[in-house]
Amino acid sequence: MEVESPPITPLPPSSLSLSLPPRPDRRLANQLRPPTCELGPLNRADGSACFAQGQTSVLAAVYGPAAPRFSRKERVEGAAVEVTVHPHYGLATSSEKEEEGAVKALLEAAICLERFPRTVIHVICQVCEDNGGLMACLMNAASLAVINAGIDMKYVPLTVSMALISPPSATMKTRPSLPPSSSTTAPTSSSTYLLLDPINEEERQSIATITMGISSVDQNVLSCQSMGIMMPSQLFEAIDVAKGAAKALMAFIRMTVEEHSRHISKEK
Amino acid sequence: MADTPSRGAVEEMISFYSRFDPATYLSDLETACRRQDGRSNKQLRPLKLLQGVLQKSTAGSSLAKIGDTKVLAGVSLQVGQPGEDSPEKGEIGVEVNLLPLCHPKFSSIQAQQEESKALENFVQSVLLRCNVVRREDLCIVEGRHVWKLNVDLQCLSHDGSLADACVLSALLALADVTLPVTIVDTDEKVVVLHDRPPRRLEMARFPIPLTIGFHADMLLGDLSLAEEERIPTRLRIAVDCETGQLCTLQKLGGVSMASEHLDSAVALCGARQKQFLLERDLRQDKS
Repeated sequence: MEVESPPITPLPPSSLSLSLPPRPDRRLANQLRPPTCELGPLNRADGSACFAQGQTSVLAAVYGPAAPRFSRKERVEGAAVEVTVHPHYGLATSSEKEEEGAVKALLEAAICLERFPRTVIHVICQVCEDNGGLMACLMNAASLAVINAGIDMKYVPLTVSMALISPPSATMKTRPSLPPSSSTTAPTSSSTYLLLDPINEEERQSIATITMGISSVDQNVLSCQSMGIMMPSQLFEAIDVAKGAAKALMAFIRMTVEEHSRHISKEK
Repeated sequence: MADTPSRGAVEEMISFYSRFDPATYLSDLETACRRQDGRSNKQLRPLKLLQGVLQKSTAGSSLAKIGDTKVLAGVSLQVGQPGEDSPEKGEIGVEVNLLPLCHPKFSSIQAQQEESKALENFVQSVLLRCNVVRREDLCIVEGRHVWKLNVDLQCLSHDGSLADACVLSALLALADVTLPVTIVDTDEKVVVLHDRPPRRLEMARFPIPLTIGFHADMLLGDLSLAEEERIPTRLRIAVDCETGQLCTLQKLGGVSMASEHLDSAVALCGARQKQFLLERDLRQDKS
């Protein structure tokens, strides 16, 4: 059963989002691609979810909590989380290893591990399509699959990706003959702007990308991966944008889960 | 002073205690504001940076020591073809080696791979995304030949904050690189001219990394391995050494943090920045 989201109302425009060049898919700077989600598409897994935002989609499956296959993995004080990420083509590389580590750390923080001592929770994510914001999509799919598996969580981590863009004049190709100062121009708050949920094309042009996980309970920062040059103040601006987007995402997830449980009770 | 135990004995006792009863150890950390190795919360371990340690075999090399964490870096040069979408840019590749030499937990290949691949990816993204060197400087003939820099990182000893040591040694090894003068002969082959003085690779930016732990509203700067194992909330921040701009901020698991804590964590990086600049000045005075 698939849930389509209602058109997400864009967040109140900040001073940043005015008079910017249009985005390739005509969204506003602080508008998410409408998410879609299917809970429980796989019937042999203990929990599964397919989460997509635009042309980026991930299928996640949860197996467990179950007895560990290797006793080495067992922890007396709580469940052990294992995450495997399969790329949408080719073999897994070092970037998949990094994604696995990030999703694992996020789930370990969110799941009530101490309720399932000496077990292993295995999460497998298959990337189906990738058009930007993959890390956020992986994290959301994984946590929705954990919800679908009925594993207790302290909160729902809501993850969004962002990109910091500097206007074309500053990112223009600098020839090797130009003095070095021209390529290392410092981004200032006035010349750069933040885009929510960037697609691949926008990520390529960006000077920095940020993936931010927000807790559904206290609205604070759970996970953050920023890479690229920015002012510290721009990071805090990004946190505010992420908080707003997380609210919209939470409303969507709540609606999805409610619809799903209504659907299940009808079948019974 | 006969009955005061030696410092080593105290450290051993605390280390046993922290393994035996981690919960009480952490709550004591809150009240005592003293860490296992006697540092205060925001105090960093001493930083030692050496450049040009492998002059015969590499184009640039360095050794970074943060406390007892030691990482050796060497850069080798290769002439290669540029990528199709960036014909005028050279390439930088990173490889991280974690052997049982640096910590017994890396005894299986699987354990080595898991951590080394993630580190590799992190160091490479810092080098590329933060424009540490202008990749146009690595161009020999646009669209045909570029320099490819292979940065090999060998961890010699792991005592926490390994990513910091990896980034620092990679940066210093790159700063140590000299590119030989080349000409392209009639067969379109690159020939190195050994009799001309080589040119030094210029660094555009120096991101200075710091690993910070967060426990009970307290920030702990520069975690040791024992602390890394017990404090789940960790931040990896790098700021530019000149401008103080943020280069990367990685927070993976742990508890959620409010903006003001993140703000003071970013401010804490200033201490490592000072340490780095001091170390650099010392080195320049010597040479």
